[in-house]
Amino acid sequence: MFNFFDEIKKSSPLDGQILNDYQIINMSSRLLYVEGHQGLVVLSKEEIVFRVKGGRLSVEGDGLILNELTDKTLTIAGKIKRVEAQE
Amino acid sequence: MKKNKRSSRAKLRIKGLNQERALNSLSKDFDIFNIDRADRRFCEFEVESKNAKKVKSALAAQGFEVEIISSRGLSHWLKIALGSYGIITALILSTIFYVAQYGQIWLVKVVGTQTLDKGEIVTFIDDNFSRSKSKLDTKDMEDALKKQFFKISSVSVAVVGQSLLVNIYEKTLPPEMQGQFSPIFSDFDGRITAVELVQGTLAVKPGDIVQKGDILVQPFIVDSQGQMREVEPAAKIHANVWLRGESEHSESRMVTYRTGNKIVCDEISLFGLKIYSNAKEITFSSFDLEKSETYLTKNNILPLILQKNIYYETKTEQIDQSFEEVKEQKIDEAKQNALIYLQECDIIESEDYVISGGSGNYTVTYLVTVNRSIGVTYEGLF
Repeated sequence: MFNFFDEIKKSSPLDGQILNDYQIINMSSRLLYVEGHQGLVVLSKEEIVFRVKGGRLSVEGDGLILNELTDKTLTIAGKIKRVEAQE
Repeated sequence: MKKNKRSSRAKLRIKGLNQERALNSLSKDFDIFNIDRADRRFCEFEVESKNAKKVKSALAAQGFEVEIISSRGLSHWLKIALGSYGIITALILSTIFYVAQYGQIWLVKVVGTQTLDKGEIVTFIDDNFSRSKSKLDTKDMEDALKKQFFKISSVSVAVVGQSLLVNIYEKTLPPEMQGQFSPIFSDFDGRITAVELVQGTLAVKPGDIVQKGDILVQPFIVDSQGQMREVEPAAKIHANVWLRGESEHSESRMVTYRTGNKIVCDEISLFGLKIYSNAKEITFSSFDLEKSETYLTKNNILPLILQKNIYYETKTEQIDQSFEEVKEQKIDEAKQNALIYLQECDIIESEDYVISGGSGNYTVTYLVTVNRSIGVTYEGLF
């Protein structure tokens, strides 16, 4: 079966192990899909922070809603202004 | 990414601190959708309806105040429906009604009749057969219909859904057997002059005087075995018929006539309310009044009605005139009154008149004797 992330990893020169930590897709700054999160830290309309392997990811924007939250994935909808990786 | 099942979800609202932790904990066992944190203390989110109670229990165990604020989807409605005695009762009653009526004939449709009365056939079926499908034997019904209505040549009965379809083919009678076997009646008063029988039994002979409504030909014949057989009567019968006209004269009489003077008054009204009038004083001592109404507009949006009243002055005078002066005129008037009844093919045999009366009042009776073909069926009499 076709897997979007696998296809990108195959063409990357980086270490495959590192690339398995987590994946993010930002669609038009309106929808952010994350695979491999390790838990929610902050949840508000302006900021959503969640843990990933090796740190945290902070998503800032307006009217943010956690559209879907499962054990390994989450989807954020809203006006996404900034995505920042924190150590 | 899991498929986003939007069809059957429950929406929950939680109140408490450290909601992120609680959501992390929940997300390990349940999928959570549309998490909206409007306030630091409150958070709303959706879970699948089937998990709503478990999620509520899990959060309550962590010290959160939890409220299920809405549910949607088929399972939710099924839950409501199955929990409502009213809906269950209605469903059961509807099912019982449907099953009960399914076995019944609701409509009897009769097709193919030309002279037979459909209502009579439906009444016969209602009186003699059940409307329950299970008890209905269409073969029996066909036989019974054929037995009951001799005009039926063949009939087929079929149950179509909730309807009973009765398809009838009527017998075609030979020409001599057609009709209602009504006798031929005289449609005028007169004396029979000639008879030419085609079919049936004669009830009159030449020279007989008949009145309107008398039977001329009976609708049967007696065959060589002495058996009476019904037939459609037919004959050519001619008779001398008397056409009668009258005129009257009084030697002294009051006559009212219009003098030619008139007064015209107009009124215009709207919805029965008079909005214009040029009413004038009527100075005539006696008058005839003619009224007429006309709509002033072509549509009824504004129904303006013009009423015109015309008053004609009249005078009444006594006229003295002897009968001898107007005798010929009155005879002619009576004749014209008699000739009104003359028909196209009548042959005038004779004419005569009688003057009766006295003491200043006279009546002229004019008789025109014509020879014409007479005889109609019962319906033709009226």
